[in-house]
Amino acid sequence: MQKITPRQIVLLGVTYVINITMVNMPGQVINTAHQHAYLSYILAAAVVLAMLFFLTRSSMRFPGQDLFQSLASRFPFIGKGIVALYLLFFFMILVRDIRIMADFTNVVLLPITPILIISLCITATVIYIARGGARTLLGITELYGPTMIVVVILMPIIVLRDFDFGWIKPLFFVQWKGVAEGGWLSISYIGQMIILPFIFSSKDFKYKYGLYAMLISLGILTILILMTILLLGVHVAGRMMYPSYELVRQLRITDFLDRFDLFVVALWYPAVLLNMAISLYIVCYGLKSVIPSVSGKMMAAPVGLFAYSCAFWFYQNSIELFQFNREWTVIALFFIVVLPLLIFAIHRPAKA
Amino acid sequence: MISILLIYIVAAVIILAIDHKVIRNLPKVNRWFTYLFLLCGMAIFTYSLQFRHVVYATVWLGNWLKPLVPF
Repeated sequence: MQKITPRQIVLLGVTYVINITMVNMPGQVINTAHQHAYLSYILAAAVVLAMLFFLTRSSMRFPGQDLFQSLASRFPFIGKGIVALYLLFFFMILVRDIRIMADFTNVVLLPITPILIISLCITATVIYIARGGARTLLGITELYGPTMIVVVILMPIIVLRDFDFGWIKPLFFVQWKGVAEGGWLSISYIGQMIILPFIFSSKDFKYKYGLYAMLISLGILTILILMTILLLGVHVAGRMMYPSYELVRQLRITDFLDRFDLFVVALWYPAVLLNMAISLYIVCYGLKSVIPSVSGKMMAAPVGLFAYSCAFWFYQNSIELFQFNREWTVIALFFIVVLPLLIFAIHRPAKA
Repeated sequence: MISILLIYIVAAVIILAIDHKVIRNLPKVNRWFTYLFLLCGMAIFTYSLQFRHVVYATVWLGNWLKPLVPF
């Protein structure tokens, strides 16, 4: 495989965190943390960065290996068990993302098309991307990662004249309980960043790349949530399912481009498919680490179709998808906080 | 109802048709995993879309995990 560059690692981290978080989180976080919703993201990112540090240190004890490989080789039984647990975690993220995107497409873009067909089209595309392997994923990331970053950075310039700065007042009266609740909701999404040391070897992955990826993700998510608050207001945005889409709908470049939202969605949608393909790739790659004779590439289609069917069994409806975010954090904290600390404590090379 | 299940079956058959030659040349465990995932997927698909009373995974999990949520 060609050499993995730091830029690719940073962009993959950014892509894996922002694309789903920007559509599924803002409404709930604004509803709990109000005008200080961005503080919730910062709180969650601080915890995730600490855990990423522990995972990176653990990974560095095994030069040239990623954490999936080193766990499976160092502890044939417990290590493979931990890898299998992480597979389950990222499989659940894949299932959740398929359902989120199917619901979003059904509600916003294709209301008449049956959700089963939408999900199948999404899953088929995701399978084809994941089958291409790491090189395809990194290639698409290099294309859509910077595009999304540039689009989000340009957005405030377009809507600047419509901002109502009254919505972020009082600025210094922070309701910390609401901020903590927002942090609780968002940590499971922002915590997906911990995947980096699991799929990149310690030779390629350094902690500073994770830090850069997190800072860029945090910057983008903060810009988006601040724009949503300044444009739609706390009360309206907090009661919407997809306030970010409503924000994008407000974008108009004078009379030149009326439906700018279509342009942004057309750029964002492939990035989300890439997001899901990363999850599927991680599941297949982890499966190969647990059972070396299994071909990760050949497992992409069966696992993808399995995830497709699970998307309809896991979630009753789109409301449940949002409501479960509260309980989902309990599960996610086990993988984002508890297991990284355990790995840091026990995962050391055997004494010669 | 059967037509809904047909969507899954057609998708599974397409996967098997495309990958059949490659999977045959790989270790047997690949074949078994492929069949296992496809069959489990079909069982879940049938259960969640054909049955009247479905216990959804997140609803069930949510009831168990609710006491652990601090907010």
